[in-house]
Amino acid sequence: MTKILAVDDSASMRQMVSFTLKSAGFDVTEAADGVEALRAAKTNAFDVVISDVNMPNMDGLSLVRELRTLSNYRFVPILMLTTESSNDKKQAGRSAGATGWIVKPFNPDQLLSTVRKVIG
Amino acid sequence: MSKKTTVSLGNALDIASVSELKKRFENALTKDLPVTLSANKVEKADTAGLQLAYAFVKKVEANGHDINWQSPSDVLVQTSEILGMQEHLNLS
Amino acid sequence: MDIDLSQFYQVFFEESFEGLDTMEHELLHLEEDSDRENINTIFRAAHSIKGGSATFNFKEVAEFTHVMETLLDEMREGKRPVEKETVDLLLRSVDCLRGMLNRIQDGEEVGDSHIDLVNYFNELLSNGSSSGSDSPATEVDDSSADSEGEITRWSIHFEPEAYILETGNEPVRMFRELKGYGELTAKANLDKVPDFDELKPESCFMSWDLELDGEVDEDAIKETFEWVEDDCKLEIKPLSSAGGKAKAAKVVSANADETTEENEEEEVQTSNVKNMVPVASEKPAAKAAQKPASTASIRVGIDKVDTLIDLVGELVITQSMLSEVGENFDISKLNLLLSGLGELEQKTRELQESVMRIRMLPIGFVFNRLPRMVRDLSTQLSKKVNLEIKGESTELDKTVMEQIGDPLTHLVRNALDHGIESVDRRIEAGKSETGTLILNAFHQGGNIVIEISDDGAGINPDIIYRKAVEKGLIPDGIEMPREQILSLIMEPGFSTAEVVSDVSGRGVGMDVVKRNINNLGGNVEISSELGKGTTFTIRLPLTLAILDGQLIKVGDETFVLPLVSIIESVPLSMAETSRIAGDMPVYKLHEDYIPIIDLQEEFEIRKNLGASNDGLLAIVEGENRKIALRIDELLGQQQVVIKSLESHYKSIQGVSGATILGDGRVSLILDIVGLSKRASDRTHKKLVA
Repeated sequence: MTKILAVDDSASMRQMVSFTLKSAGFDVTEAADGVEALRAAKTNAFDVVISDVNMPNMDGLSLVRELRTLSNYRFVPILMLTTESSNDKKQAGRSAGATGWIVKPFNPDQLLSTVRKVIG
Repeated sequence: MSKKTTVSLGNALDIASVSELKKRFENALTKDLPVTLSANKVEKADTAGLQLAYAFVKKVEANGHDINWQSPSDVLVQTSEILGMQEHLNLS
Repeated sequence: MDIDLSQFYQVFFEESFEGLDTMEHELLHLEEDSDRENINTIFRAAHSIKGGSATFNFKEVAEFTHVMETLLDEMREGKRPVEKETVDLLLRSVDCLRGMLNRIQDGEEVGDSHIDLVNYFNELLSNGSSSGSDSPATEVDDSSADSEGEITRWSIHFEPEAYILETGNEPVRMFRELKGYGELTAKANLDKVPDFDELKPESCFMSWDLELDGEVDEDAIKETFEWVEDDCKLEIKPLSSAGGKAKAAKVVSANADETTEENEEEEVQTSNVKNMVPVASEKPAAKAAQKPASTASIRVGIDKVDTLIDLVGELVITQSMLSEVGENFDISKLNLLLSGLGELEQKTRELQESVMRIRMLPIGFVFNRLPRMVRDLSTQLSKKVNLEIKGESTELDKTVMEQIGDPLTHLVRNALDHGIESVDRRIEAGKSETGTLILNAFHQGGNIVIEISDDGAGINPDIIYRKAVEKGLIPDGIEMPREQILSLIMEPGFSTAEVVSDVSGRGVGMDVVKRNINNLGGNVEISSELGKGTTFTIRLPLTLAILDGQLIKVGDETFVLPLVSIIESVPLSMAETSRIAGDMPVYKLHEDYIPIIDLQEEFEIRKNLGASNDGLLAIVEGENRKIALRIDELLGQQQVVIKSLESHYKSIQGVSGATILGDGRVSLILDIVGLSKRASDRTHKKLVA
């Protein structure tokens, strides 16, 4: 079963993402910020990481950079949840090592189709 | 029966395993023999993996040996097809 | 997939309100201390609300938070200074958003209260700085004004940067996605793949020429490569179209010139390739479909839950130990049994305490809304006030906290309005021009104590006394201790507008404050020193759910008295009782006469035929008022779980609730304040009659 780590400091967004993915049969773990996410990532082997950008404690970009230093997560698809439609924000995510992004607002179907896209 | 060496690709020919695979390929090259790639168990294959396989095939051939696939898995064949590398890899 | 988004609304509202509180809190500190982290916190809160409201289709909220966020972003980037006007505007926006969210939550129309503010923001933003405010809906990219929907054959040249695979972007996936649009033929260019010995296996040295046979528009193809468009050379060219007019090559990014002129025969694709571009399936703006079910929820620290789990684990061990003892019990195991039961009792108590702790929240939740009020009000009153908050992590029951907010606000407002003097008067009095208001909270016994102290003018007991006599609240000439005189300001009927303006003290609605606090099982005390200041001390039970009770027997009935209310008990035979006007029996306690209430009469309990001098007087106190209860017997003390009577029956004066005793019987919990009111009302009636 594909294991997904969903990171967002907003509980409603996190629950929405998690619920959607679980309903589609994925195994989802939630984390409320980068620090929590990193801890979870070190003890689990996630196939995909989905993370918000703006978060307290450790933001999404730092999380991606940290994850990419872990040998298990060097090539794992990491998707950023972003409300930024401007290019430099997306590019910041990319240069941190993210695979791609999902622009907020998104609906459950968009989320699923994007996730399915990266798990191939 | 002529001598040859067999390299098993295991279950993954992907980016996560290319470093490891490259070492195995290097090892095989030192034997200076024809090569059989055992690929029946490959469940994951991607660009990095096939690119490495391609470089290896070229190398073996350049050394004057034959190289062939032993029952390549469906995943492997399909991936090579999507990437347009079937012919380069003799997987057609 | 059909997912009902409304199930997330409640959580969204809760976190949004929390976010707004955070914003407000930070905004209030922003002027004095505007470091980046402050602004960042505010930005993040606005950002979260924007993201959530957009996702859950609360469009107005999303639009509003968007303009707010744009302004905050400018502040964060240092393009806009932190000024009082801006902070005020943001504070007003917080209020406005609260209102909007409340209305949405209640299933009402959002209204247009926010429109003025939005316009104001837009005005500020267009004047202020150069950074444009892109609306959330507009995408930067707009290369698709053309309608080339009929093109059925595309040539795509894709040449990624070497590092592309290391970002998790896999050409296999992209090509597979393209295959969803039609038939795909890929040709890999491997010329640049280095010799095996030189190959860095995690880098990509390949490029591709693809041909896509399908009725798809260019945007969809570009979207496939969206994440890597800055990390590759990408050329997308139409090869043929159903209309026959091949369009000029469109170059998306810097391209190596290549002419793939394959003059394919024009094919009219009629196959109905489904456009797979994920399009926002616009669900009807969930105008809070119906009123979203609002069950209150509570956030609990994981440590509290862990403690519970540990305790339950220990309880299970004790239980299994006990059942082992019970299996082949003989008297030699008695000690084992007793120690097991002792353990069970202890664990049960710990479990109970831990469960109660789940409902406990730091009082900071209430305190935090006060700085804003103090700021607004002191501006309005042209006073200078420094608010100090202490003990904000002191925990209390969620229900108590929800209900203490209003009384607390009221007391703070009064302290500002009537307690702390104007700058001029403070200087006259030789004080510093800035007044100090201190909020403090701490635990004491089973209570939480909240103090509100100001260093203002204080309350003159003589004036209060005179006013109370004037209002007919007390007979003239009566001796009263100072504290009791001060507490008269919280009597109903004391406070009227004219009194307030006369007395340099307090007044407005103090009786309501007192009543609310009493309803929570708490009390208020006032101490004041003329010229030095006033302190209100609120004492509240930590929880409304559990009470340390004294069981008493009256006739055949058992009642519960709050243990804290009991001062002493005296055998009736030794008590000095007499009767005063109105035929009310009284008991002489020290120098005071306190009314005696015979519970047997009060509750019309069948007399059991004992001598009338049997029994006890329990002297109890509530709200500084003492009464003596005539009872038959004191039974044990125990903690009781309070069940509300009102939800099953109705509110009765003198009874605060009910509980279930160990033997399964229901017992009423007596409310001292209510009982003494009942008694005095009756005496009044008798007097009138």
